[in-house]
Amino acid sequence: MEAKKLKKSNIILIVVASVLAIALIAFVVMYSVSMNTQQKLQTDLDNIYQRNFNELVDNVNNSQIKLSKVCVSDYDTYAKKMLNEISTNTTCAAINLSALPISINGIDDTIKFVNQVSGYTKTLANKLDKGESLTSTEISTLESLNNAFIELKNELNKLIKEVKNGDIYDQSLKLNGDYNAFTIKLQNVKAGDVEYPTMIYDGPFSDSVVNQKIKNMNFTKVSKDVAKQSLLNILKNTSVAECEYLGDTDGRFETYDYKIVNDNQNAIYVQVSKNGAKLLTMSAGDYDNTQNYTLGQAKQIAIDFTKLAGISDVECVWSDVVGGDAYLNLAPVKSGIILYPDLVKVKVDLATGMVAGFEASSYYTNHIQRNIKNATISQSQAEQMIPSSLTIKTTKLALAPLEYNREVLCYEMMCTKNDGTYYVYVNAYSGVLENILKIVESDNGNLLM
Amino acid sequence: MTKRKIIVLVLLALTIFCCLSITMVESFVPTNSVSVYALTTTQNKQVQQKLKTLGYYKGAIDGIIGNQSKTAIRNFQRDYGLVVDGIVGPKTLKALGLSTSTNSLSSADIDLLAKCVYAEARGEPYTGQVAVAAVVLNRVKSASFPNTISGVIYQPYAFTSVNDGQIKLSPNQSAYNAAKDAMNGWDPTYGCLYYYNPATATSKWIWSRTVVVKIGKHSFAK
Repeated sequence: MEAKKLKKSNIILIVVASVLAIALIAFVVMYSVSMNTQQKLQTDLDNIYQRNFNELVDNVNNSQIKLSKVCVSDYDTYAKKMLNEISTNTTCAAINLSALPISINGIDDTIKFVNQVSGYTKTLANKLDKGESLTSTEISTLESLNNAFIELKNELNKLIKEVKNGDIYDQSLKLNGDYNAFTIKLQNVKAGDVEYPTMIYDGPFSDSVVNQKIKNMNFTKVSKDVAKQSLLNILKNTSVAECEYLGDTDGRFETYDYKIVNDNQNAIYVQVSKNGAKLLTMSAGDYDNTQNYTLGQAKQIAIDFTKLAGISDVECVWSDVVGGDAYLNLAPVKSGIILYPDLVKVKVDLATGMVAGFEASSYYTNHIQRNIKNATISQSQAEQMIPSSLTIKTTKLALAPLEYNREVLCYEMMCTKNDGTYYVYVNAYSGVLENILKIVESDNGNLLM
Repeated sequence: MTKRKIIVLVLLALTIFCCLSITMVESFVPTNSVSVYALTTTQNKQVQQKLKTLGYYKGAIDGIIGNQSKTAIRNFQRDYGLVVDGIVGPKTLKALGLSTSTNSLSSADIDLLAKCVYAEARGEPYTGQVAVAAVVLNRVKSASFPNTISGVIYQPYAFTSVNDGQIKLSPNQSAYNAAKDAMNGWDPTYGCLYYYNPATATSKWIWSRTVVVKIGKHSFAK
């Protein structure tokens, strides 16, 4: 009996030991497979980081060498070539920087500096292209940029030796609060002796473009109760069941924010300016694709609503229907000239005929009394600028917004070709072709590109 | 009794061992995209039109997939040997002779922006969704961030939903509308570059930014 019991327990032990051994082997195999996969993924990722970091250093090195060449060059043609190349190098450097595993709050100053150098050098190259020369201030800014780039280059070249052995991935994972080791290393590069000079220009990424001044908000500040009353007047044709004050927004515009609930229990979010209680933004989620109203009716609804909001001098200049909504752009038209910088955008729900969206920040940013000089070239002269492959359908005078907050009087010609519709803008003073926009049809409506 | 205890303990250890090893293996293998599928209204209309031509659908071409449309889809799937679930996925679309791809660059941008909105703010009020899309577009314009929509969205550590893979979820119509509204110039935050949920934010730095507006659970900051 005792021997039988012992034999049974031995069998159990053997079974357990075998199962354990098999499980151990299985684990080792699975672990090694997974470690190999992990190792491969880590290496792949680190290779991408290494490539970006090496390209970053190359682009900074090249930018610095070219900056030093611009500083000693007396020839505008050569300087223009170098400035264009610096702009390309720095654009690429910004792309490389933003592909590295860095906390976004870590090196935003460096990305900003690199992007601004790209915008600044491009603006100077364009200036030389127009036959103008660089001023002494611009040349001294380029010299400061060169000095900053020498420091940046030296620091980055030191760092590249440290991360050469493929450990950007490792340094990116170990987080210490908001930062990882790699971010701190790059921050030290910036914190070294690199002092970024200020660049004053009207081009891409300049502060003056980003912080665009609001020209049409010189109204008296009102209380939130006055603003609410003014809002309810604007919404007198909407069935308002509830109007709740949500708080303030103190961004580029200062606003009181409200949530309106209509009789259908749909929520509409509204922002009213603290100055003058002007309706700035209104938006409502809308998923109904029914169309009970026509586009023509929607245009009238949009114009009537905009009048209620205190803007009475606008006409519909662009419309599109997507799903159950009509998107309408309204602009003031003065003496036959469409003022595109002052657009008011309205969205009308075609199921209910209600305004589901309203945006007037461009109107209040730009709409002022302008003294637009008469066109110096005629409509027929402008039409001669159009390539023969395009057929002109309509020609209108329009104040067109150009890059970097510039605006210029243009002839706007809607043209067609086999592959679609184009809007061509010809400068009404110089006859220069300023811009061509093409209507691109997509699943999400027509886009002007 | 002692031996039994040892055996039970060994088996228990073995089970834990196996579970751990499976968990470790799973954690090392990258997860696949989440298989949620949604179509735009235009695509829904194309599906309805195709089903009508083939004689499966008799309702209106309105882009709304209701019971009548679902029955038609199921009947079509049954006849074509597909999984009968009433949902138009890639295989059903292919069988209908419809493509899921879009060629336009701008359309791809709207798709990506809508994915970001859905992943980051799907439980938020509509304005909060437009605001998230507007923050992405404000970053594109800002010198301190990458200069393209994909550059901003895929910037390392910029969005939690990109880090954890939720960006791969298919967006709903609300997210598309919000993306389009923001691209149309609507920015309820008036220039904000950051947002965070005060209840869950782990970053200390983000609290130092000036809050411009609170919409839903998010604080939007300059």
